[in-house]
Amino acid sequence: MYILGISALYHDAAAALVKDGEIIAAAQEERFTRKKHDPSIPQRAIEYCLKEGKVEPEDLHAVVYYDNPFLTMGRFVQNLRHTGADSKDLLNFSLESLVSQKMWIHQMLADSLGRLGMDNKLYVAEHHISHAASAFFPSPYQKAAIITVDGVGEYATTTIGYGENNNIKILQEIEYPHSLGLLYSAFTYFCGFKVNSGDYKLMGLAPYGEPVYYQLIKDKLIDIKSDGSYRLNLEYFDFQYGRTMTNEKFAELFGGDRRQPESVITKREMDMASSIQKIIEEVLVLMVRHVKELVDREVENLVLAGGVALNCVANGVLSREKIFKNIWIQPAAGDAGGAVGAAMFYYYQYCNQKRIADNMHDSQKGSYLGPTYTDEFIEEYLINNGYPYHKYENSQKGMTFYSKIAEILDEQKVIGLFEGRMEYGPRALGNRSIIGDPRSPEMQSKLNLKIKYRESFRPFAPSVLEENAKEYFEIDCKSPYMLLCADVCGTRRKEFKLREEIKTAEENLLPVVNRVRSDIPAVTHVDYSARIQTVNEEDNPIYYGIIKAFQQLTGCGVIINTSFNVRGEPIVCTPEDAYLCFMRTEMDVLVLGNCILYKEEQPRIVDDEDWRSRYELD
Amino acid sequence: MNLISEEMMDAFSAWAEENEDKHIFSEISKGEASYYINRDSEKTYMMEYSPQTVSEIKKALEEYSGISDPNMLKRMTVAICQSRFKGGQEVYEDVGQMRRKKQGDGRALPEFIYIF
Repeated sequence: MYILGISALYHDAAAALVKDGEIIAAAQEERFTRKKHDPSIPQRAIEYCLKEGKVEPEDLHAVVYYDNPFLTMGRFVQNLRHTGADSKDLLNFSLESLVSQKMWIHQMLADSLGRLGMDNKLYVAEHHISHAASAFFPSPYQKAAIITVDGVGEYATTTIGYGENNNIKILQEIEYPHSLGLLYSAFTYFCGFKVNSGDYKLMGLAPYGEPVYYQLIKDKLIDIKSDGSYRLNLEYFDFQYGRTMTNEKFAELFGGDRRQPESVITKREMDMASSIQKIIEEVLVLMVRHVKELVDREVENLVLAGGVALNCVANGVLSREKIFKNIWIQPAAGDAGGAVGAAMFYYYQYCNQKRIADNMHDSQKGSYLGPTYTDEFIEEYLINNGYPYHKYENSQKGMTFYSKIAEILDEQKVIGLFEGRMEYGPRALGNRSIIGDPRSPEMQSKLNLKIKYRESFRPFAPSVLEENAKEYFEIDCKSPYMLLCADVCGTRRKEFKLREEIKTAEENLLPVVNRVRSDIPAVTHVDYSARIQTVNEEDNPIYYGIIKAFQQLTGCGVIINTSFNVRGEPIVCTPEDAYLCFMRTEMDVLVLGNCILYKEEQPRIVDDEDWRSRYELD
Repeated sequence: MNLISEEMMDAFSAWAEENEDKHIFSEISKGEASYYINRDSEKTYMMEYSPQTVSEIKKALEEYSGISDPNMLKRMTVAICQSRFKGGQEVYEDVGQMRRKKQGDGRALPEFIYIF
């Protein structure tokens, strides 16, 4: 039974193909169209999924969309009454897309696919059911508490539920406009970052600040109950009018206008980031304690999805709190993951199909669910374009190959790594990654400023061999999807007085970033934290082999892993995307399948000066 | 040309003004112990979605969107039917972009555009 799941028309459109409960393929449209967070009908992601599954639209048992337009319309009309005489902007910016696109999603998908499966019908799942299903069904657990938290989907912004076998049930929810996701986004916006894509930046900025606004936020913006439920004080927000996230009253509360994008980041933004992070963590901890009470107390597992579940710092707190023994987070926790969830919900719950989980292995396949390119395809591409390369035959593709890559890393070179299937979700997990040596004190700023072309304060994540994780980080569980933060072990830390450093640095954070804080400085954030990816041989033998070889060469079982893209660009999908990104940046080496390319041997790319303007800054 | 006429837009605006309710959304209440809403119904977890005719759209709006005012129900049904997606028409990428583009409106898109 083949099911096609679709998310589209909001942000991060994606498609996923599920066969008898197994995820065959899943990908975000942005990777194909090269438009970050592309919300359009995911035509190319759909084509890829069908091709991967070797099926035609008429072979599909069902096509499932991740949101219910009628429910969303109900919320829109409700919101219209709230805005009343001040409804012009809401109508101008939202009505037409609702009535001409979202309400006709079945026609749009039929137009795109030619046919909506065998029965030529579209099914729609509730937005948070799609999230909940994406968290529970691929998880390793037969029973789990479920929490979904995002901006908004139809009415709900937060849901608490329970999953067992092939069934999930939402028990409680919080409804729009009260939203933890929107609250966080309001701070992202006010601090001068883009909503959604800038949320990570705010999280990365938080350790530089102090939570001096924590009480102010609790006094004025959000009322939090002891069970983690909450409501916002709408007097300070503008999103319900379809305009910006925050209003003048919000600005007055924080001492003036929002920070203009790309301008200097001041202590105020750092402190705001720190304060809202503390609030998010507090709410989530209370919520998780509440769900533990609500569901069978014997349940040891918690699963999470929704955009807020991408806050790996908060996830790390939840993990350390040990309210549940085990936590699993959908790697594509944002809207893209809704495609997988909608399809899996249809298969397991709507069609009542049996589901067995072993409590150990998830069925996310390492989230390597996107397109792959054969060695033959890659070599043909290189030959056709006249790009010099060094090929490692399959017989050599083992330790010889890995050792060569390790040597290059040890020479302080930066490598673009392109192997196997593309990742599903916002994190690069070793198949579309830029990698480097974490021992280098200069590597963080080099990567930020010369390769990623992004803000200097942003941290980089480590990939560590699963068996060595505890030697480097204070973590006692696996983190294969880079969704948990934990501190670098105390024995590895070097003295670093953050508050004094920031005072001295004033407006320039670069000297703070460059100060060595551990023996793996390039992946140690200013508060000694790190967003960890644990790597095992089973999930990704090539990536594991590279880190292992680096360990054997240097004694260090950690490497830097950042996504293979520049600022504003979606993660690379094809060998061509990878080659262009390699050539346009100061990356030194490109590994494409079993070929290694050196920058100094490549021909210059001509007429490519304006490439940076192709990607809108995120 | 916009899919929704200015007259219709004005009519929606007037309806919103006439039916304004600043307290339609729940508000902070120190007296309540919890803000969670219990969820019992599973009816809309998943459903078929294939409205085509005026009556199907009106019926579904009534049933699922909670629109009870007959005027609004009629107006919204007409707006949806008049804006029926036809194959091959341009699909705009951003919510709100469509209207701005057609109007040649110089205003920037709202910073947050994903609520509807």
